[in-house]
Amino acid sequence: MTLKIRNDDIYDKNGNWLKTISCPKKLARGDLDEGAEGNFTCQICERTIHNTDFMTEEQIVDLLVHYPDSCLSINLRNPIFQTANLED
Amino acid sequence: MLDIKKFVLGWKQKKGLPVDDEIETTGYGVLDEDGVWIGDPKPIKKESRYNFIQKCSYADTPSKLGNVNFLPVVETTYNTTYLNNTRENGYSILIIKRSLNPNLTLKSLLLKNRRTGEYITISSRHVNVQYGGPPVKYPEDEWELIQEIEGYARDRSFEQNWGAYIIPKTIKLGDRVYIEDLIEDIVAGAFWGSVSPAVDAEAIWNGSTLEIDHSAFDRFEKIG
Repeated sequence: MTLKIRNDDIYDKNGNWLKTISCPKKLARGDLDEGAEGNFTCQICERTIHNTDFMTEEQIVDLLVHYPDSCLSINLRNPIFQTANLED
Repeated sequence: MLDIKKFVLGWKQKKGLPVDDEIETTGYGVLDEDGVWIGDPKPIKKESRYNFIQKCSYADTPSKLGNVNFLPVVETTYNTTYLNNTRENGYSILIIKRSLNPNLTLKSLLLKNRRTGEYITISSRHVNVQYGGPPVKYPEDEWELIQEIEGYARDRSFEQNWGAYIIPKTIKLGDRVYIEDLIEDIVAGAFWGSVSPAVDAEAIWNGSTLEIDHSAFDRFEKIG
């Protein structure tokens, strides 16, 4: 069971859209400060960036369903995420 | 070397900005007052800033960037005959001595349970857990060390400890280029106990060397 990323949109296993990955400052992980519990803090907007390296798929979906404006840090090597082409 | 002050002055004049305004410069470009990168070329990260969660035990598939930005391609050779031919044809040559990257070393332990006889391979005696909870421990009184396992993530013979980049004649100072066959050993990314070496890269030609821009590997991560 994986979360599918198509362009910058994340979808759950049923194809339901969860979130568009978008940072207005085009930050990278190296630009973030380490925060609590393995998460990061944005230096510019001071928001918590949830580190998905430490989250299960269910935790990610639950977070985005209840807090759709949450910011995520996503490592594309994480097997939870599957990068899809437009045709998929 | 690129004169940053002249570059910034020219950029400000081009944008119609007052020339006495202070704008932070970084790499070969500028940041605006909101911290947003503006201008060309892109900012350069000269070192990898990847934070490893734990020591890596195994190599992930090498990550390839591809020449997605359609940059001039820097050719690589490990052959002195070809090297001398290109040099005689007027190309600039950049010899790179390869050195091992500690962040690409792999370490793990072969342990045997003293009571059950079970064998396992593990990254260390204290293993962080991905989904919370305390580290899993493998104390010596329960697990006998059979062998320390060492490796290296980049699959290349150590006899090949040099290479040469052939600089295209068409590029100029400050140009971004694509290195299709990377000589240097650098980290493209990692995920928990696995590390992925880079096999290609983007770099800036500064007139004497190619400065690899580690920010190109940020595309293997998404923030937002």
